[in-house]
Amino acid sequence: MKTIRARLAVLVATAAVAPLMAYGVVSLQLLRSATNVSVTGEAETAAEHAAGEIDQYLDRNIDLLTAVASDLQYANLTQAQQEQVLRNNVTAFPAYSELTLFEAGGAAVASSRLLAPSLVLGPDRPIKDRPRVAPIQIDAALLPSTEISLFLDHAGPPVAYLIGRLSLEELWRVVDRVRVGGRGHAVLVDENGRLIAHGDPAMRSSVARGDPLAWHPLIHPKPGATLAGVERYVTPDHVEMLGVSRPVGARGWRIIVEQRAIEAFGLSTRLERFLVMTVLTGLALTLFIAIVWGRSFVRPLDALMRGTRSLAEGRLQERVEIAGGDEFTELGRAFNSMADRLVTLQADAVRQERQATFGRIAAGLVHDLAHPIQNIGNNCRLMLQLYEDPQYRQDFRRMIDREFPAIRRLLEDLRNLARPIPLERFPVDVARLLQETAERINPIAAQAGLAIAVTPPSSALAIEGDLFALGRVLQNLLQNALQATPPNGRIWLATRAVEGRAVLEVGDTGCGIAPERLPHVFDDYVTTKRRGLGLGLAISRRIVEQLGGTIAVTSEVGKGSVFTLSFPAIPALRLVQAAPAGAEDPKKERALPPVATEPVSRADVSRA
Amino acid sequence: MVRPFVCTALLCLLAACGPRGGTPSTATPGGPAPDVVRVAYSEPDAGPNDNRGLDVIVGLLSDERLVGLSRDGRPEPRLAERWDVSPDGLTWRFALRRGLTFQNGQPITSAEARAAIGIDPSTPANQTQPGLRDLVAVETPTPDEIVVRLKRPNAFLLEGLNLSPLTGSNESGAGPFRLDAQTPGKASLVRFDRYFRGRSAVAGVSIARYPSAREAWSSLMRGDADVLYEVTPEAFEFVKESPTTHIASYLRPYVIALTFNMAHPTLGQRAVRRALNLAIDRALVIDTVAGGRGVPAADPIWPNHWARDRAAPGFAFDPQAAQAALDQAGLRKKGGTGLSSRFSFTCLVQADPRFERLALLIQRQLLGIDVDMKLEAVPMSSFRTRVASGRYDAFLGEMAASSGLGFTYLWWHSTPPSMIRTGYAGADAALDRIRSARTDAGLRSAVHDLQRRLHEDPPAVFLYWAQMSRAVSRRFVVPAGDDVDIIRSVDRWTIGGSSGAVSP
Repeated sequence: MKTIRARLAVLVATAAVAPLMAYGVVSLQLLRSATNVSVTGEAETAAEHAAGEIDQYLDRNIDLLTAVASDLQYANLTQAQQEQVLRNNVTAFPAYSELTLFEAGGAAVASSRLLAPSLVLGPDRPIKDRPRVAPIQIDAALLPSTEISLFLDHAGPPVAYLIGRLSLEELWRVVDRVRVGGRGHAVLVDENGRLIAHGDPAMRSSVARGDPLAWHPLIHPKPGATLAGVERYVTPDHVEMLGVSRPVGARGWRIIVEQRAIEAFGLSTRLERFLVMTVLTGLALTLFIAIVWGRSFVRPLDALMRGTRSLAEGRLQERVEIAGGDEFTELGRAFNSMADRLVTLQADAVRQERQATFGRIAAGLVHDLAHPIQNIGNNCRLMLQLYEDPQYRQDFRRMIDREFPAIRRLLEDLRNLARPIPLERFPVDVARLLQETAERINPIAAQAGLAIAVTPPSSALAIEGDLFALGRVLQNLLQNALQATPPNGRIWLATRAVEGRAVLEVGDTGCGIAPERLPHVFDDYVTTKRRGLGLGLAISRRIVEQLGGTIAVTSEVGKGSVFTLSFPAIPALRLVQAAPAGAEDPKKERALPPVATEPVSRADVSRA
Repeated sequence: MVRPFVCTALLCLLAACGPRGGTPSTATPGGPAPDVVRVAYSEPDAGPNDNRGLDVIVGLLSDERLVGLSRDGRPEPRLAERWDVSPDGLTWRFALRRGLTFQNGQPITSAEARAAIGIDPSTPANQTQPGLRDLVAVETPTPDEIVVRLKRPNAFLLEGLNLSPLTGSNESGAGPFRLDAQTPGKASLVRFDRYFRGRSAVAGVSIARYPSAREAWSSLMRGDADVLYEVTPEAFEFVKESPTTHIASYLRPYVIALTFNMAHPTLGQRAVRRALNLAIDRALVIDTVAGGRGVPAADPIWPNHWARDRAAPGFAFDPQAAQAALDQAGLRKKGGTGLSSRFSFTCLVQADPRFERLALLIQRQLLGIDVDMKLEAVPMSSFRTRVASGRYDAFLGEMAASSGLGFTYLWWHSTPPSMIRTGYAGADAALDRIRSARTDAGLRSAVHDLQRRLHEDPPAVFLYWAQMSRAVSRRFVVPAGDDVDIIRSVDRWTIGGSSGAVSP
């Protein structure tokens, strides 16, 4: 039963559960992998695009300044004209808040400002054809700007340098336009890691404060670590972020596109949950179906098993109920038909056995009664003729004494079989029991040319039992031995104490019992003799077992048999106490059964 | 507290009237109470002890007047709950609300109101207000009643009263907040519990000056301030996107104009002034200088004024027509090519970075019709003096307008005294009609006439009305409303939550 269930479980596990789980695991891995690639790719694309745009923004403004420089060179302009050019360009290009021309000594020559120019020519100066972009400045308002300076070699002395202040607020707009997902934004830092722009409006104050974002792993990698391009990290606000970093041109600036991990992987997470739920639902459904279907397999088998077990235990009335209309139903019907047939067969068998038993009893009765009655009849007829003959009358009496006890014993067996005599329990002296039984049987044995040898126990041995019943058992066994043992053979009664039990042994050197019949010698109506109902040993076993003992037989054909009886021993002291009472026991006179005086005819002994 | 006429004069100052200028000062240190509003403003050109801008803000919070002026120029009751005027328009009776006190506990009576109006109509202060020029007497028959007698009807009287805050002893005001302490660049005000509109939920206001608009903005972003008094155009979109602040914008009642001196031989010609009006692309100016937040100006009359003719013609950008007009006026380009021009003039520009780019842009646009406008940047003090004395060809600046018509009269009527001397008298008749109008119909007709006149004979190139934006921390809930100056409604703010106010 367990095996079938286990097999079904293995079948479901291998055919459905394992593939489904494998599918789920593989799908999850693929989904995560694909999402990682997709999300990171989107951020990388946005970062690269923004980096390019910022680079272009700066390049474009450098080009603008270069174009202004071109307007100023080779034209031999007056200072007023130079100022006009500068002002026109400041007006045209709002990203430049100021344009100022300087002489080599550092003095301002012309400026777009109506007021005094605020730009100053510092020590770091550009060289020809190499514009210089100053580091990002956080001005008095804590906002970023930079200065782009150009060397002018043909603007006419004393002009030597053109510097433009480029507002980076436009750069903020570029950074602001970078959006990844719902709240993904960009962060722009300069070569020193200083925050230039932040796409998160809530972080604008960080730009205003000039926060260095020292915690940011994509800006300031941990000691020993290299600057990564992609990183997952946790902000000081305990928000997990996915960040992608890309350089902006060759300026050393970096743009970082970052997005909340929960948002970046939101769709993936939802899909993962959906997938897990689907797989779990599939698993649950599979298991449910497997259980339901498995039970539909196992339940009929269980029913059949129960039915079979009931039949085996003799409950032939049990039937199985298997619904479903499938093969199991057919099997159930077949089982029930088989059980019906068994009932019929059993009834037939009982009836035949009863008939056989009746026949055997009848035959036994006819056989056992025919001889005495024949003897009695013959002798009665002779008595009419020889009544006066004293010898005959004596023979007649012997014949009566022999045949009537035999008839009586036969009837006693039948009565015991039908209504067993209630047993009584008294302490019994085993040695005495054996001795008295031997004395009773010895005259009969002597007629058969045999003698019963008694081997008493080495010490007093007592059991609790019914003296009459025990005597009956021993007489049965001894009479069987007499019938089985040829003249000059040996019959013995022996007893010993073995581990708190009293063991009684009745042995003979007779013909023995065939091995195949040995297991059945204690069954009812089983006999190895031509005469008798086959009830002696069966009755003996019942008596022994009723007294709490056991009886067993060992036999070898041609060598003889030994019947061994074993009873719980009781202290011999109880014999002493019970002896006086036992002496006056009113039942003492039936302590031992009567013994048939008819000589045992060896012709009646037949051992199969 | 400044006297009303001083405040009026300040408001009249070109461009500098706003809270700008001053030496660097730091924001109020330490964390204030959550129910205190911290205002950050910038005044780049103010001196160390110059509190002009601060006074304006303090005045907005602590002053109260007899009469208010709505956004469409209609008068509305304030401390005076009602008034009536005699049929001849010469006698006005005002009834004060009962039980009112100044912030020092002094009862507000007609005597204080009389003092606020000014007894002598000939004082220079009153002369700067057209509405108060015609006073004959101010009587106080009862403590709750004021009678104003005029020598001639004056439609600007109520507007004049709107510009005259009432003050008690020790300069104590009657507004929603009482000035508690003031140092150069800083002021703190506390709630006035008996304010006539009720006790404010805001316990106080602290004001701090910053040396630049950017620093003021930074203070807001750092959380050191709750209100950025003025959001500059370049900062607008960044502040707007901030999750911690919201922006409330309104049209500032100041017109930005390039004003001409009629004494200039060329600019004195009506055809030339009309041609210059056609040469200016106002939309481009607004986009470039004001970040697109402004309304083109056709004349100096408040765009939302109820009496305004909204269908009145303006000046479209038409440089070809401008050049043709100049050609017709005989102002042709001299000498073919190069940097030669039809004519040139010098424009005064005050030394304020705000006007630099505007001046350059106007210069460039005029250069487009071969008119050479030279620029002369001068400090504010010099600017005022030269404008008032007429020593200029043209000047570029911001001119107060309010939502009424009094300032229009003040600037463009030829009768002195005026803060500017233009020599322009082309609109005198129309302006006089407005002054003497006693009915809505009469006023409307007169305003339409003025608009027409200013279009036919413009004294200036009226460029645009700038939109002003103020940023407020979302710590405060500001009453929703379009096109209103939220700084005037601090007493109705509540604390916590998000504001219903939105930026346009």
